[in-house]
Amino acid sequence: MTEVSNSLPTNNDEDSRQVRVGWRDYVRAVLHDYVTLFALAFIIALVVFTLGAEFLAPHEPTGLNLRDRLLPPGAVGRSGDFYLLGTDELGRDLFTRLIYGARVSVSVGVLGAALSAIVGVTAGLLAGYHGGFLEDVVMRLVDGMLSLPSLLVALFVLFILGGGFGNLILVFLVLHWMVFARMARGLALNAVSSAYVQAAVAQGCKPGRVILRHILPNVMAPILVLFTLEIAVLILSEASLSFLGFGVQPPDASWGLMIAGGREHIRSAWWLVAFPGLAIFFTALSLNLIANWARAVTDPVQRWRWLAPHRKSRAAA
Amino acid sequence: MTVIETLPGYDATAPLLTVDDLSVTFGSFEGQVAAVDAVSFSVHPGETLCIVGESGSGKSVTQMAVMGLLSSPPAQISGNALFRGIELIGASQSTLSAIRGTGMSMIFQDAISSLNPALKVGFQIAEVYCARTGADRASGRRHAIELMERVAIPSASQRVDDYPFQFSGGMCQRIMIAMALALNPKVLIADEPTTALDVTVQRQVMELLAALAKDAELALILITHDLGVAAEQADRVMVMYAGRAVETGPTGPVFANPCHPYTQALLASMPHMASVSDRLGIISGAPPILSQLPKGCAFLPRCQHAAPLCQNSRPQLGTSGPDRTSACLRLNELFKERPVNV
Amino acid sequence: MSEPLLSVKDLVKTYSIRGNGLLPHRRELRAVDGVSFDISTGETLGIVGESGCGKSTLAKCLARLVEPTGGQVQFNQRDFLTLNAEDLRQARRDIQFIFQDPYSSLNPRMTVAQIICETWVVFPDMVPKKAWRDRASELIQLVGLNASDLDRYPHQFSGGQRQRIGIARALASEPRLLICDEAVSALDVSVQAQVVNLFQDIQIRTGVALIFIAHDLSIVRHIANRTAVMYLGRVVEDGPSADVFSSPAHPYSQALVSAAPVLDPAARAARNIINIAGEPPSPLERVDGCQFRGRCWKASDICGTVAPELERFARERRTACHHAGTALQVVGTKENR
Repeated sequence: MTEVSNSLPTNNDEDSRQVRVGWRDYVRAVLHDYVTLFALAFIIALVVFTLGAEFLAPHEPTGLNLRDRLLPPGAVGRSGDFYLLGTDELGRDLFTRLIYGARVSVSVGVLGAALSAIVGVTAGLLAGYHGGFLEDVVMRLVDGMLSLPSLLVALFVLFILGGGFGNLILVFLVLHWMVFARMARGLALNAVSSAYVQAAVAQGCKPGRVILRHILPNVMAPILVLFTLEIAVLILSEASLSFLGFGVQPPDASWGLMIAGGREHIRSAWWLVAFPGLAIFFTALSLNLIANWARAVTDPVQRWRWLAPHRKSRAAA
Repeated sequence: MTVIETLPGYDATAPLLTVDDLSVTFGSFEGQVAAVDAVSFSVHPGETLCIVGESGSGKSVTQMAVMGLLSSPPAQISGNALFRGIELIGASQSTLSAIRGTGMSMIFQDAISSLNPALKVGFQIAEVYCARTGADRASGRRHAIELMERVAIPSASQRVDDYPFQFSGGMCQRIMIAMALALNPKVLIADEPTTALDVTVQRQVMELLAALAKDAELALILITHDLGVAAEQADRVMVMYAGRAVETGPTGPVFANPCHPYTQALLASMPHMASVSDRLGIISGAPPILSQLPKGCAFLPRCQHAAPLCQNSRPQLGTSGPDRTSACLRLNELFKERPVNV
Repeated sequence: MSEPLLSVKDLVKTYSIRGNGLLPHRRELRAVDGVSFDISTGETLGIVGESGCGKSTLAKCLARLVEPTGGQVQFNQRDFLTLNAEDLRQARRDIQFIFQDPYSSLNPRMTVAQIICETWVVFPDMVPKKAWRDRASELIQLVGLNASDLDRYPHQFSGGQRQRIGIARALASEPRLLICDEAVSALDVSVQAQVVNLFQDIQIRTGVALIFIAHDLSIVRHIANRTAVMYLGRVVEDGPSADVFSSPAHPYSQALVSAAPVLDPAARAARNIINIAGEPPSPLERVDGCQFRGRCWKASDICGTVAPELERFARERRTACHHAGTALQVVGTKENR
């Protein structure tokens, strides 16, 4: 009858599904993806300004100049200084304070979210993988903590411990790890029942390896998105806590503090609120866009789709 | 409510359903892909046509195009499908909804998820009937019970008020059949109706479908990947590969003496219950990727009879016996000496 | 007679299901209810049955992907169920599992090479690291793919090719028993045959014992030396495949075999069709006596009180039925009936 052989023809789509992807392919694809390009540029600029604030800021962050109070953006002060984004009610350069404020805001956001993610994801994955008593304990703890009024707890803790950068991050960790734990546990439950995780167990992987090598990479994408969202949330929380006087203490700047301080002048000096607000908005937006992009390039299927059109055009050229 | 008889083009003497040169193309990530490519067939009252093919052969898409279930765009549909002379391709929504239910109905593979879990089954069966005929709820309910009895659901008068979760998979499929039959259609399209069911239940449902088709002079179009089901149920079969019909004909002769290398190889790869061979015949290679079909015959890379001429053009359906067609360029050469009739 | 490779005795797996309501009562779901069988090296045991009969749970219990509730499993004359975590992990080399769904059984983030080499990562003494690549390309060629496929990701393959990768992964640890849980059910007809032949080739080459679980009777008939028919967690019949399929003894096996669609018109005309009413009941709704009696046309008083035991009635054949007096010729020629 029919020929008995197990030979398969090689994939006829060899070219379009090229095996190795070089860094050039990524660069090319990013350059074609204007939205991601913008987000990357914004975040890179933010990082550069944050790290090099001392050299890049045009003025002293705490340099009072009461004669130049509440100048609009682009104004030139009486002493001949140029204020790109205007000045605040104490005559401090808004652009400079924005740069210094980024330091506090971004590091509070990133550090707080990162620590919450590490603690939460670890707890969630362990709970989801092992189930049983451990899961019950972790999840009841999560439920309990989620039902606490977070602002109240934050105020209470900061009242006892005192404000400041370190305590702020500690409070954020305590109040936000559950979000990650809950999501990670759900994802882990899903992954544990999937055949590839069972296959890893059958292959002889120890639990640690199953979690780190087989579950974690496959649940990273939604966690990554949550992570960037949490950064934005934490920047805003920092703002409200600083506004209430329990976060970063003046005269240090943070975006939240700047918005809080600018609120009373909002009718006469809109820029005091608008620019820190825009800074928060664009940071959150860029982080979201980058999270989307990161999700795409870390997933082999999506990565291929994302890179393919650019590679095709190259092949045509 | 529009009645079929008043639609333009209606002709009581015209064939029940004729599909001619139907093509469906999708614009995809990898370019234009022809999911269905120039397929023609027709069915007559009381006849069962089986469309056999593997995943991606276009067997379901063909029927969805006929039922007007593909939105266009993205699908680009060309060709004709005439129900009693009424054009279905490109027909207006009002024409289609007049024909659906009363003219043609369709049932799907996954019966359990096709039913609304929050509504009683009796209500779901009667819903379309009441809407179309203007019947009140009481008579709709009576009609639902009748239909449930017709599809052999035990103690229908009590179960009419049950919810879908209270029924097993096979019973849900029966309910779907009852819904499809509510308005006495002339054509019933069944897309893999028993694939999700167990063997013993599959037989029950298949026998029910066959009995219903016989009683009501229904034309049954059965889409399946299971050659055994096709062999048992069909009067005629149409074998599809990569969006095209490769062989058509009456069931017995096609299975006894296939005239296309694909049909032949497919049959050889089926294990038999009655006789056990040491090894199964196999079709080498993987199922076709529609966006990357070869230039000539789509089956060429997997065909054991491939010849240089097969690379030149796509074969058209040609006569391979009484009432039979096959799309193979080497048809005469390969299958000539064999007795074409059984 | 040599000792069997795997010997299963009275294997039981129960799940407890919590009901709804204010004071929920726990109900017991017996997915596997006292299954016993032996399998030797080089042999293929087929397990057939409908959905919910416990065949997949049984498979997972045998690989200890699910912990059995009771019974004994001797693997290679060693008690498999009491192994501690590390011994079990070591024992997993010998028992490998092929999953039903070729799409979800491969980690989408790993290349084929990583998937196959994972076994040697966790068992470093098996293959020296330098030889991983060579050994992996040997395996991938053994299952009919190319060495160049090693650097691809699973999504770049078709269903049949993925199943081959799954087989290569299972073979990496040189197992002595391969459990195939519906391993070809999700594949297209034309590809099924390729994979079935591949299993047979591998068995000839390596002498691995196969447990082949499927709902498709004709494939089990084709590949298995012996077949066990399961119904609601119990084996109702077992014996040499040829006998079980040509003259099933248990009423359920008879119904099952006769319900399978048959291609060949002559064989179709010759067989007896037995239509049984109803559908497999839920494993939660257990009855006294024989579980099949509600659908059985032979049921009598005794079936309602005494659960039939699996008893030998012919050479190498066992069935669990009070009325299995005569085996019925279901598939075959008319004269035999």
